[in-house]
Amino acid sequence: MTAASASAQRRPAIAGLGLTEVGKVYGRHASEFAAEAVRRAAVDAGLTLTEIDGLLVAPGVTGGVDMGLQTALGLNDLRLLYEMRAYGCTAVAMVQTAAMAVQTGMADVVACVWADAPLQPGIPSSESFRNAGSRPSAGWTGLSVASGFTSANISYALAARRHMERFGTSSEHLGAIAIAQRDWAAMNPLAQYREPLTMESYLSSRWVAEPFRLLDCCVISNGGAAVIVTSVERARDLRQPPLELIGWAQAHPGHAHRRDENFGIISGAARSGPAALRMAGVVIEDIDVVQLYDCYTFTVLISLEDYGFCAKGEGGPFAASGVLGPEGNLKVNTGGGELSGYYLWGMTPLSEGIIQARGQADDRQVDDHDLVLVSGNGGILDHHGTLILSSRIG
Amino acid sequence: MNDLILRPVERDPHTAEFFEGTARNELLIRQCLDCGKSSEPEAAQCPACGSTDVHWHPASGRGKVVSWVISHLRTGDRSALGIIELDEGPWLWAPIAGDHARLRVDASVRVHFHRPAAGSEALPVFQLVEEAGSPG
Repeated sequence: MTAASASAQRRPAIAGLGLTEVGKVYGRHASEFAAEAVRRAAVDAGLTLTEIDGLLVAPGVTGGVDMGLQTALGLNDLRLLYEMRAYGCTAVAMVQTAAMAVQTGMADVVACVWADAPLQPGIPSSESFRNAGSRPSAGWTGLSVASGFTSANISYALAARRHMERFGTSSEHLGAIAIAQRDWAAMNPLAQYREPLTMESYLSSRWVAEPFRLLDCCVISNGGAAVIVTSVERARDLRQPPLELIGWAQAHPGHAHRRDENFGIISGAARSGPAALRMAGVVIEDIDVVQLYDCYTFTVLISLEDYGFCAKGEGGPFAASGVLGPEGNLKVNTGGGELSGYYLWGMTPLSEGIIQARGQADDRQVDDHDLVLVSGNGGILDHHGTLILSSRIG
Repeated sequence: MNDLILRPVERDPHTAEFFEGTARNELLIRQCLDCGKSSEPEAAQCPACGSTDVHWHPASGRGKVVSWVISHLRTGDRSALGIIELDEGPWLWAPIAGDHARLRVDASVRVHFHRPAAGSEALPVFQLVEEAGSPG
């Protein structure tokens, strides 16, 4: 990227990534995963903990990942500290906030951390996740829950149904996404589901909320992830190949249960994507690797359309054309994503994006990995965020 | 199967007026006193003009299906849930009663009210309407 003006602003970069053990890892509180993730990110970057002067923390559904993490990590001289919440958009939003803090000089080394521990031994993962959240019996949310809207599965299935009815998107189209990501997951040692998936086994997986089957939904994981953002100049002297943050944006349609003709038809990616590309000075065709937030197969499909990888309404045939998966031309969710890999909310696409951009993905490494697009998606397609990472630093 | 699976709900200061309505079999929505536009029951500000002069107004109770899902529970129960566009314009997320095989976009529905348990407020449920000469 070339700066148009001789700006005094520092260029932000990702210099560290810390991933804990993920999946059915029991007996540890989310705050312990969070602390470990930050320690691992510091080691990864080649920094000592005391060099961290900014800390952004975010909890999942079980909570407990809060500003107290400062004390747990012995960080007594922070210049930036707060808890952030933008649902599935949080990881992207934390990195954006850290990047702006680095640009302005408010902080030099910012750790962004997310962790959760919803899984408990002997409890089905869907139930443990559901029970971890609050279940109000009063108010508008109480009315919604009492009416049967008890999980995001139902709400996203309502969105998917609109797309299917409008454009003819089919179960096989959604299945193609699940299968492609499973093929990628087979090469990711961190992935929770690695055995091959056929269309037949996808179609025979049990209904959760028609039109969604079990294999349209993400896995549930315990674990934590942390990312360290600093300046390009500082990152050059650290242990890892620096990844410059060259573009970012957010878009929040925020239709939440109100009338919105675009619900299930157009997501926030349609605005967040072009804005981030514009900032980066690149076009969508320049992107080498794509890491999309994939709480459901459908989230991938609508994001592919809204980012412009295919035309609106053609996401289904596009996904089923063989373009996805390790043999396809478009490298999407190369670690298996949240569907087959691990579910650390927005840290799932972000962590895989970093691993690919650095060229550290071993068996699943993509040949061209200069420009990586990472998305975040929160609420019921209410919130969207985009990051563009570059390993080609001038 | 077309089970209706509802849980009890209590009123709070924001929903008290709405549940007063359901208790007398009325579906209350909001109507803007400035621009006249109807909006969802939870809208304290008109989505069209931004006015906070939104008063409670009984809806006709008629509408059509925008989207739907069949929720499958581990108990084996199945229930239909959908987005309903009321004749007045607002969208409500609500349970749908009736034969699941007849669910389709724009299917006509009419509101009914169900009390899941003694002590619970009554909830709006939309019943699929049999239409003479409907295209199926």
